[in-house]
Amino acid sequence: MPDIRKPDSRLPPQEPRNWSEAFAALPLETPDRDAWPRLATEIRAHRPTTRPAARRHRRATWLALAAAVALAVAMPLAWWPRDAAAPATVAVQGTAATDETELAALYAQSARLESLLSQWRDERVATGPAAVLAGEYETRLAGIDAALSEPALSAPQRAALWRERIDALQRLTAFHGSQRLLAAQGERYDGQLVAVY
Amino acid sequence: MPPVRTSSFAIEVPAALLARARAGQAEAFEQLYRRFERPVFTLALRLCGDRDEAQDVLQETMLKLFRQIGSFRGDGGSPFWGWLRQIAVNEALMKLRRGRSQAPEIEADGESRFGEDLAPLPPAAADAALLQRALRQLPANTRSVLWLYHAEGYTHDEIAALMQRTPSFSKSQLARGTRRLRALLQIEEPAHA
Repeated sequence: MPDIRKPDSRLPPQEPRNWSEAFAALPLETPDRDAWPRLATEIRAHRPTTRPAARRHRRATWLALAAAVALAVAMPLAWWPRDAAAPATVAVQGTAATDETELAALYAQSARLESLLSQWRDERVATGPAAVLAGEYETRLAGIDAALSEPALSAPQRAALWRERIDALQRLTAFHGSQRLLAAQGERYDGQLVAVY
Repeated sequence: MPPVRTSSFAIEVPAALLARARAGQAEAFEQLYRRFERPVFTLALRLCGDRDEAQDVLQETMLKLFRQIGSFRGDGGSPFWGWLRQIAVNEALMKLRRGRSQAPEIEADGESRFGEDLAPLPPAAADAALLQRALRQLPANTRSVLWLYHAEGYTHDEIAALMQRTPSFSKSQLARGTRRLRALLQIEEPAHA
């Protein structure tokens, strides 16, 4: 007796009627390798560790480096190449065209920061408190992205969220940049960097 | 009647399992990972078009899930799978934007029609291997728009926000991408007896 819960295999499979059904009929892909072992290791590595014993450091050097990186990241508009479609200043007005122009400029700035972040982010030099702080910034970004996914946002609301996103990206990029610079010099001031950022 | 789009992410997660994962229980988190491993990888592969990059996106998505699961509230009835899918989509699109070459899209092709494609599907669209091969031949941004729209059910406004582009971009890429997909599948169409 055929199992009534299962489709009758004697019948030909239903042809998709539209692109959505055609895409839905595609089989799920399987990763080439199990990511869980590595994931479990990284999860353990990202748990907060006890702070290392205090050691002597050159405050002026790392403060100056951190400030220089933060300044460079915080002033992108004047110095970086600008997209042709992105104006130098953006003012929110009541027209849809102006709203789209402002959003386009914010998108472009966000994309530039993400590109910079991808170059400066280096998980190899992240430890304990630094990894936790970076994770907090990532959490903030994820929260902003979740808010941006709400379809009912007005243009001013969307622009405000994008400005928040840019602020978070600037801070995260500056943090990774400082950490990488210090690591390149053989220095590590995780606690001090966390205090600054 | 508009087509019903059911995402492969639409997997209900028992509240008890979610609570244990939020409490930091590793075995509970691994269960979440196993449930969503293939939907996340598949989404990443469809958007990025590269298996190694999709593997990276899977790793980063699950790591972010671990870091942020404590912040998931489920307010307003929003399901866990929708929240996880959002993380995966963002990671995949960031991967595309960080690529060495700008992820291309189909330029203007002289057609100004951006309406919904309602013509019958080419027969080859029912062949999974042929459809996957045709999708891989599309530019990354175009393929992403098609997948987010047709497979995941995002609107043009949502796609625009996700891809940091305008709704017009989403509509134009959907129309041009669909035309290109039709052309590719017409070429691939199996010979009929």
